[in-house]
Amino acid sequence: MFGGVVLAAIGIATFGFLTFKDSLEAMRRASQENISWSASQLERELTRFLDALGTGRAGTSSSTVDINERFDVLWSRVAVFQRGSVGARLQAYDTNNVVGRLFDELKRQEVAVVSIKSFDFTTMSNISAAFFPYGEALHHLSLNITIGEGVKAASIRAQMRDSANFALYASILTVILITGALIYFVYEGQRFRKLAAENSTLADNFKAASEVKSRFLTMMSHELRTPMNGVLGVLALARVAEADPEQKERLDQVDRSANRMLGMLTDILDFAALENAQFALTNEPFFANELLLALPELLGPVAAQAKTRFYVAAVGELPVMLYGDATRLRRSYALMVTYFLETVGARDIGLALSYKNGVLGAEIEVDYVGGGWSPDLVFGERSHTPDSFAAEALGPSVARALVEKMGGKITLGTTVEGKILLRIDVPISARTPQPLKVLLTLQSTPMEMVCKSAVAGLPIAFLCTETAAEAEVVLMEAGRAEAAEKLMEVRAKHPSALVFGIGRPQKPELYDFVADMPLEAAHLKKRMLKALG
Amino acid sequence: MTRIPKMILWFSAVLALALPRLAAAQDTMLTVTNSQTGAEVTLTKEDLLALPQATINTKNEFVDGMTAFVGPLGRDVMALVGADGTSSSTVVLSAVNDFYSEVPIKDFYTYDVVFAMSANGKNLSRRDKGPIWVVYPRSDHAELQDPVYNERQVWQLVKVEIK
Repeated sequence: MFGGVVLAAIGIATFGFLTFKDSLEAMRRASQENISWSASQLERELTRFLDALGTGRAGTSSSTVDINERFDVLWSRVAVFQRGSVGARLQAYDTNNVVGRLFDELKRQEVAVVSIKSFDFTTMSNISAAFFPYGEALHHLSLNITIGEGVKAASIRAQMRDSANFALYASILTVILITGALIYFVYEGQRFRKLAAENSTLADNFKAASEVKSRFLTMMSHELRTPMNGVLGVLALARVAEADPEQKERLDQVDRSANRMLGMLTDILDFAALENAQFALTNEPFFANELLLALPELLGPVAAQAKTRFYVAAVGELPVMLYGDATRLRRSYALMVTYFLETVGARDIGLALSYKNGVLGAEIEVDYVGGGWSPDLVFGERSHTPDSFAAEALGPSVARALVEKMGGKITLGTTVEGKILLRIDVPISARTPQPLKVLLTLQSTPMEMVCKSAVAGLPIAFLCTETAAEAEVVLMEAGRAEAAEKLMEVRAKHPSALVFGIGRPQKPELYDFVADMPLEAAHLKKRMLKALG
Repeated sequence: MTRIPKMILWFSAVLALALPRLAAAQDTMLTVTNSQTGAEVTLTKEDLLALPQATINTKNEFVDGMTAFVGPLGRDVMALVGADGTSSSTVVLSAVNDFYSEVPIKDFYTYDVVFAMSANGKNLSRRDKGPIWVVYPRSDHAELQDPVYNERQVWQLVKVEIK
């Protein structure tokens, strides 16, 4: 439609341009000198010359001067036919060469006219007789030119009229085309807006349905976990009680199945959380070494149960501190390793961490029994969408979704020995932190020791009295009666430092952080880590 | 002294007085009058050549191709009778055959209108639109292509009358 309108507009514009050119040419022709006037002037000047000769024959004193003057003027009118565009147009009508013959006559009579004497009536009569016949011929020529120019003028007027009419029709057609195009565009615009609104409604409905589904999944998995924990508790009690080996083996089997089901329920919870629009990653500092230590701690029991060797190693030097969502990262690794341990039937699993160019890489090398398992079913393109995974691949799907949320990717390959080689790359920033300067204003040495052990492993420089002014964090006991007064004193001495209270203060809002007693070591360490970041 | 020699003497005296005047009248090429001031000058060919000469190269429908026209500017000639283009509005240009054309005086102050006495180095004669042809620089100004300026390019100019 649009192309048609454009083509039609171009066609009309081309015709309009050609018509405009024709109109300009017609205007140019209409603007030319009126040659009818020149022709009539020639005829008139011949008459005046003959009149001068007649007057001369009457014996007027100035007749010879007048005759010569009229002769020259007549000559000049003949000369008009011989030059310029006016001359060319005049001569086009002079098919009998009347003007050419008149010019020859002028040249023949020139001597006689120039030397004419007053009262030389004979010469005057002869000259008059020589020119007289041209009067009739010039009259016919003048008439022909007048008629011919009239016809041409009519032709020009017709051409200009046609051009004007065409311009009018072209303008009307253009207006119709543009109006049609505008109506079409308005109609299409409305149609697209309606479609967009419908699509938006569909998307909203789909999103709402998806959120309902996620909420349902979350609720159901949560609800199922409660009785499952009950089952596991009773199972644990039953396993403790005395039982014959056969019963014990059956109870172990039930226990493994129940634990696996609990794991799957946890995966469903995670999966539903990923679908939730409110899912958000954290970006907090964590230590690479902690990640290295946490993985064997987390996955060791699972590997032991599967009678599989599992080891974690660092390839090259890892940064001291990383920034990212350590919990989700650890969970991704755990889901993958668990999947290989429990589903694929791995004999040996190694996880190697490396850091290069802002990317934390984890290579999971799996030596497995083989059989019917195909990695592509879980990690290939076919299984890429969250709703197309195999039932046992729920964990890997959650892991992949988590990695993608963190901006990373999972690639699958094999080693030269034929082992599975799964690589998880996640972009993570890193830096080596300066030691945090912490001042302890605690009342007892045991309390100091407890606090120091709680933050052990963090790069912290504990200040002495001489360097106390540089403190970035001040730890103080907050549960004592004089704590408020002491806090004001600390704030005054260290206005830019964070003040962490240990104990249960009357006004906890006065502190930047409070760790209750018995000491909430994990909370204190996490807050200290945040202060480091 | 006889009667006949006395008559010859009188005739000779009258002839001696009349001949220079007659010669002067014949030499007059252009008469310029200013009806606002009553001033009038008659100009010979020498008078016109004594004025600053301007050259314009132009085409028109009566010549073949670009032609160099030389002569005094119209406004310089009219200045001889005190015209400056402000107190008058019209100039009547008359030809030897009694043709005349009324021209707005501003034409002479807007454009370099020449009272041409030669074309391409050849003096204009009465047999070829001379001895004076009013020529507009039509090739230099698109607006001068209009045929109304054909009427204003008077040939065989003999009289300029400022009104």
